[in-house]
Amino acid sequence: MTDIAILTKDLTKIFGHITAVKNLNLEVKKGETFGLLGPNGAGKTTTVRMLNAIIKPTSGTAIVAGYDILKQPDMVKRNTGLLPETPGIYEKLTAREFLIFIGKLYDVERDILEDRVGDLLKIFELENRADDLLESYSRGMKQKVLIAAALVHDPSIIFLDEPTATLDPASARMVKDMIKLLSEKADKTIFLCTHILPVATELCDRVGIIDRGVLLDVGTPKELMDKTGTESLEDAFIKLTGRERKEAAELLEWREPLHQ
Amino acid sequence: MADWRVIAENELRLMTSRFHNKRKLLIAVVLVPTAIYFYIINHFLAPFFSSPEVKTMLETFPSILVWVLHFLLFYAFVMAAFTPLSGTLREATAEPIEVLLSTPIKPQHVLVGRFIARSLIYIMGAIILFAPLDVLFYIVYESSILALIVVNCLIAVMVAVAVWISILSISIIMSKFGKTERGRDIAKALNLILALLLFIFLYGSGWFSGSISPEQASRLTRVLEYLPSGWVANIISEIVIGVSPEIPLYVNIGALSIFCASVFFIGYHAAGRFYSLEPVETVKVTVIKENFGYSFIRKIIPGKLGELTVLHFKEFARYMESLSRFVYGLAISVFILYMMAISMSKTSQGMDILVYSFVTVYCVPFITLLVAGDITIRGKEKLWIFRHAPRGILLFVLGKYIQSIIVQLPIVIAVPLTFHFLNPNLPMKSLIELALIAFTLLFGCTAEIIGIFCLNPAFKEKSAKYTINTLIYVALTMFVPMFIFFGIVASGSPPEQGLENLLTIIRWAPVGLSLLLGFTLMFLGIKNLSRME
Repeated sequence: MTDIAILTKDLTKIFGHITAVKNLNLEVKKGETFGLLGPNGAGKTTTVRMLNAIIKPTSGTAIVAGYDILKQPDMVKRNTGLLPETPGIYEKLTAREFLIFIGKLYDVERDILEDRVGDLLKIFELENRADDLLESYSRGMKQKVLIAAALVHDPSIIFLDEPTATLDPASARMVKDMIKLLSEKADKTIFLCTHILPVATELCDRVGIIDRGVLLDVGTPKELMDKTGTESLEDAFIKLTGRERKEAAELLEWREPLHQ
Repeated sequence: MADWRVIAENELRLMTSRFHNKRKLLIAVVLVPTAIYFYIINHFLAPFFSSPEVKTMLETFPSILVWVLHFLLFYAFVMAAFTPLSGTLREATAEPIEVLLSTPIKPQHVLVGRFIARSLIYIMGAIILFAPLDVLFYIVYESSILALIVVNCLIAVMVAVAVWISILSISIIMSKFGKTERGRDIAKALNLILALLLFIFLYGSGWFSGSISPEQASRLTRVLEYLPSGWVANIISEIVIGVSPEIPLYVNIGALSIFCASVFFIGYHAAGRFYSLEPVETVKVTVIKENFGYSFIRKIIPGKLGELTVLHFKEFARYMESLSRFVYGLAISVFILYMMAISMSKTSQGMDILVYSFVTVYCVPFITLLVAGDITIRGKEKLWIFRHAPRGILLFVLGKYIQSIIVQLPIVIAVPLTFHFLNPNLPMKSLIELALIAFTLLFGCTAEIIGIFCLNPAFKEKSAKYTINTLIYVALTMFVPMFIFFGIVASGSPPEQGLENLLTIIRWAPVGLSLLLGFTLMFLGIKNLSRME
């Protein structure tokens, strides 16, 4: 059990009459980069929120960093970092103030915190704008601040929901490199939710495909491609989720006059 | 550091973010006016309270001070409860709640931290503002320092409870509405309704307190005695002024203690429900059939302009905030017209038509600001759609102009109707003239506000540009007419044609100016938006 970072047991979440996540059973090893892929509304964000002890499951449970999400939510939070999918941000704080605030919430010691915040701002190339209010930042810059916020307390498991979606190519490259290093050199466990399948192919040791709350398959990208007889993770994903590629004629049909 | 302290510190940073890189300046900004305020108290109020006339009056009629005390404390309680709530609803921004909830912090600590930060500011403000009362008690009733400390502690407790109620309300409302775009729209609409209630309370109470009789004051005091602010006022009047209210002292202390304890206890224990990411019920709005009114508008305004007018109508009608602006405008116009016309008519007998036209000149621009001032507010992205379409900006602006005029028609019709209700003997000719003034002003002011916002587009309501535009508009529509009005009056003797002609000029000059300025600004605004980069 000691080499397992995340273990879910029949994890289920029901909102009213909608089952967002159904009997999810999943294992993620320590130091592994795991990608959870799925179409919009598949249950990825709900899963991440449950694993971070932000919302409670309807049934089932999970062990994250050795702690039960139902019985020890505070310990789960102390050992995880989260970049949410649609995060709000304190627009009226500066980047430095925001990161220090988040660090204090995790009880990071003051002298360590200030140095760490300075280093993170430098790595993310934000040191020149560190004392400007976040309201003046572009979307990509805010994303960088939020990634830094997920790392500021140096957690053992990092959940990243669409980390590169709003970044420019250079920043996306930097984030991808950082994810690789965190996993390979710092032995961090990365749980990645993304729609950008090349990112998943490049970074993830294993991926899980989820649709309508059900985990359809888990494996390395190569295993999934072999299993589905496809040549890319994108095609494997489409095949596993039962979607079909539209024919060329169908895609241009809209240009034809309705009544001839 | 305890978690609530981190939240409180953060809250203080957020509240003072305007001074984020010059915090020392903030201290000066607070200290200088406070010093001036205390100078005024020391040099003007204290000698006034020491005068034998004031002392004799307050000793002979202590009930006057009791009434003032009840009124002031009630006022402070309402303001402390509503001001933070109104500010939050107005902005209605998405909170970083997911980031907060992913940290090991308890919802109770979030609530307490926010409360401590805000209540500190409000309590300090209340104690400074109530300083004249301390001086009065010290001079007239020779209160001891201990008694003054008790008075200030009571005021602090009352303000703290009001802020706590406000923070709880913010948490409840934002947990319901803060998560979706539609919810935030409803929150902004709620703020306008709240602002309307506050406006009526402030304006109405000011008007009412100026004309209240001793019997009415006594009756009102008896009602206020049963509110939290009333319990505080009762305790102060008994221990400092020496007037025993109907409710015994121990009942007032008991009621205040139980109220405070229960409000804090319930709020603290219910906090977990306010901060959660359980999804709120999403309201899906499906438009099955287009409104008949839209087809009618398309018929009377054919072509692209009709389409654009309909588009603006849909945007207006589908935002709760716009609808509440409309209600706000209607209610305030009737209220202001009624109050101003009544109070001004008392002092200008026989000049009703002049008074009414003066009031109209001040009311219509206000309504227009509320209804038409949002032309560029909901994002700059859509402007590019119109920039790309042939003559798109011209049609966009004209469509907004026509839509704003149509929306405001019922509000402007209320102007002559209110005057007719106030003064049924007003001749039909005068009523028609007032209606004409209102309608013509509507055309001019709507063009002015749209023109200003197109010349200097503001894409956020809480932006410096929005404030500047509003100030320019207020100056053009309210101060300039005032100068014209008083300028003509002060220019000397009536012209040879007689007083009647002079009065006609006074009534119509602001209207003419508004039309001239309005269409010029709108023309320049269209040019500016068309070439803006």
